[in-house]
Amino acid sequence: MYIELKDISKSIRKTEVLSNINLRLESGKVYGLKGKNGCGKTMLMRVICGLIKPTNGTVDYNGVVLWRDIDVPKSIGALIENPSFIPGYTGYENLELLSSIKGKTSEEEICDVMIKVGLEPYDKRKYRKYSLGMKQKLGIACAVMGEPEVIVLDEPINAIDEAGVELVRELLEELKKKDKLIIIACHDADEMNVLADEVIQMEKGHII
Amino acid sequence: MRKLVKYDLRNGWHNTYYKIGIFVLVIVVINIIGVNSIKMVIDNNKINADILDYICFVLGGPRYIPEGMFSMYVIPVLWLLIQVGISYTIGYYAMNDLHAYGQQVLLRSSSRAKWWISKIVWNVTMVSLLYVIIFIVTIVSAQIAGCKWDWELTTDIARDVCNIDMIAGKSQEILIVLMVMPLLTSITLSLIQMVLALILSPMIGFIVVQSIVILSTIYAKKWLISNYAMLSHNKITCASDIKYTDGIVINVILCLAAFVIGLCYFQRCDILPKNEEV
Amino acid sequence: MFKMIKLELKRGCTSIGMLISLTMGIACMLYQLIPWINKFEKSKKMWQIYEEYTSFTRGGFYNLWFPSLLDAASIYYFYFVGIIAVLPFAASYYKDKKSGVIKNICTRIRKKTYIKAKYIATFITGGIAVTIPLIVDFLLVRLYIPYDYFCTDGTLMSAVTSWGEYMLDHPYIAAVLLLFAWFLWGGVLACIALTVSAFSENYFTIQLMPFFFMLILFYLPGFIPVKYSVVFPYFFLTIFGNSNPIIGIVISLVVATGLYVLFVTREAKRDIL
Repeated sequence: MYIELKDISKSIRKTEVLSNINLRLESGKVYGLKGKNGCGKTMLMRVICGLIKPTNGTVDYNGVVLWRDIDVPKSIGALIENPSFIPGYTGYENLELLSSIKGKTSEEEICDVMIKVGLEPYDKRKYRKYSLGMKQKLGIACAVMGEPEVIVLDEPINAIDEAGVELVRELLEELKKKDKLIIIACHDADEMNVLADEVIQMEKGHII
Repeated sequence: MRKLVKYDLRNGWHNTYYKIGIFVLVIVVINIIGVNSIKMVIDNNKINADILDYICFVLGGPRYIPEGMFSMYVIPVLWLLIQVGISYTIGYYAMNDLHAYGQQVLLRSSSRAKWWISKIVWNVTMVSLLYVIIFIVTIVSAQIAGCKWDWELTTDIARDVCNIDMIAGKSQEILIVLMVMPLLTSITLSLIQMVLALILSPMIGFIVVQSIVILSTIYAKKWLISNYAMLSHNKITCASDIKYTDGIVINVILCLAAFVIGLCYFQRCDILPKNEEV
Repeated sequence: MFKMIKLELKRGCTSIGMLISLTMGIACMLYQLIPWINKFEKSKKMWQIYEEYTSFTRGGFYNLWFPSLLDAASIYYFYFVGIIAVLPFAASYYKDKKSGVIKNICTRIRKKTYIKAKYIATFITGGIAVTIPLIVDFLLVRLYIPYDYFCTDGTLMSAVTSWGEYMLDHPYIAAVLLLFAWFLWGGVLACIALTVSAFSENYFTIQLMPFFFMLILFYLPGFIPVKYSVVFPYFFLTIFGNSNPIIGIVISLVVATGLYVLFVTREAKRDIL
């Protein structure tokens, strides 16, 4: 499985946020996006997920072009910016509701993925009572639940404790071995070096 | 697709069940007022009310105002409460879903068209549910009040309580205008509201739809589509040119237009964090 | 405190909501006024034909000004006044809490100061949004109607009531009092939404609560004796038989004070989460 971005550009209200991005991403690797704040990492992730349409260029998923052949990538999990869930449901209930849309994830798999990120599946607390780190962990669990082919994580280790970071590392390693294509953005240079196989440096909407 | 619809119905219910509860209360109060008003006419004229009289009180609409006789106008609060209640229940769900949790839903739905169709299905289901509630509550109230089941409007009650001075249509026509057209018109308006909420904002959608509703109570014009929902503004009960056949065509066209416009826009729009300006 | 009020007022008056509210109000006003002005210009040529002229200008100024509720535009405006007052700034407290801006503000000034400034600014912006179209309408109608008299149509005020007599003797002061009543009531509607935002986290509910409130207030006068119906906005904000804006001013001030106490007391104590 591969993702190929050809000549991707995006302007929002006359401001060019992405400019002539050309990338080929292969499965079985972890790609790290690195760059200053506002360089376009999150925008690029949004383009890959199909949440925004590029002004120019194409996003090719294994020969299937996004916005031409399909609207949304067939198998993708994403955590972009702040995680958002239903405040009145528990973490498990939120994941169960989302998994019911595709119907591929069993109860055991949901529990398993929550444990892997360091959350208690049968915790009765509602999402609104979660700490920031717990919300972030739930966001990661949501993105990797069902083991999609492409996983996009924007600042996954934000607000997570050391033990949690270790768990996330192990999880990403496991998914890499299962031939998944993982894209992460991270400000921590050391963490990026550990997690990512290939680092993509961005600046002002370009890849350098 | 089925799973997406199931998600929307489940999540939509979770978001709107308390609004539906309030709506039920409002309908009950409207029916209590209706039963009392009709009872006064029954007692004065020594007649029996029909089930259709009670339905007409709730859904019949405000009095027809001929051109130039604006001094007769009274804001039809009870009828407006139903329209506002439907708008309020529908109003915010789709857009609230899209800009937060709904992004995850969209990624799992694997098609923007499916997401939009699912929202349309939710919308139509919700409006239909609200009308089922209206009919059930009204029928139960009418039965408790001891109505007859001839499905014919009573002239005195129609004139004194339901703002209808003449009845010049066949029974089937009256049934269609009174029971089918309000539902169809409400579905159309709620789809228009959802499209405007998607493109502009939920508040703008609400304002536009309610503008159509309030202006329809004042002017009996064909282009103000809420007129088709009112028996009191129909050609069979007053001197207007509002025909239900035109209403069916216009409503269907507008529903399709709302669906297509929403689909075209949604398939191209960027989903970015939205700051609620309005 | 004054600085905070100024900042909040600036936010409110330059918001998109204020633009939409004023657009709605002025569009209503123009919809009513332009056809009338056309008719007036045509009939000026026929002013010698007494009956046509008097029937056209029946009621004079007070038939045409918005609070008369004698045409579609003024009914529309009255119906939507609950939304017009709320759009500019009423949901700002909810937005501040949701976005986290409140944390930035409350680390720089006392929370109570912020809450009070928020309330005052919301009140003033709500009043402004509602009153400006009325003032513009007042001035434009005054350009065309050079006199003030009441017709004998029973729907309008006459000298039978004390307020009607006062209006005949001092029409401008009466108009100013009516505008002031509208300003205060617009402020009250905006503050109802603000107070609801302290209890609810549903944006749509917060925005629409004053609209529902007005809808209920349209209906309640039918259940009480006519002489007490002056306490409802349908009467104290309009020019009907027993209207009296002084009552409106008093009611608005009482309600505004009550909401102020409720909002400030509740929110000053709450934690910022």
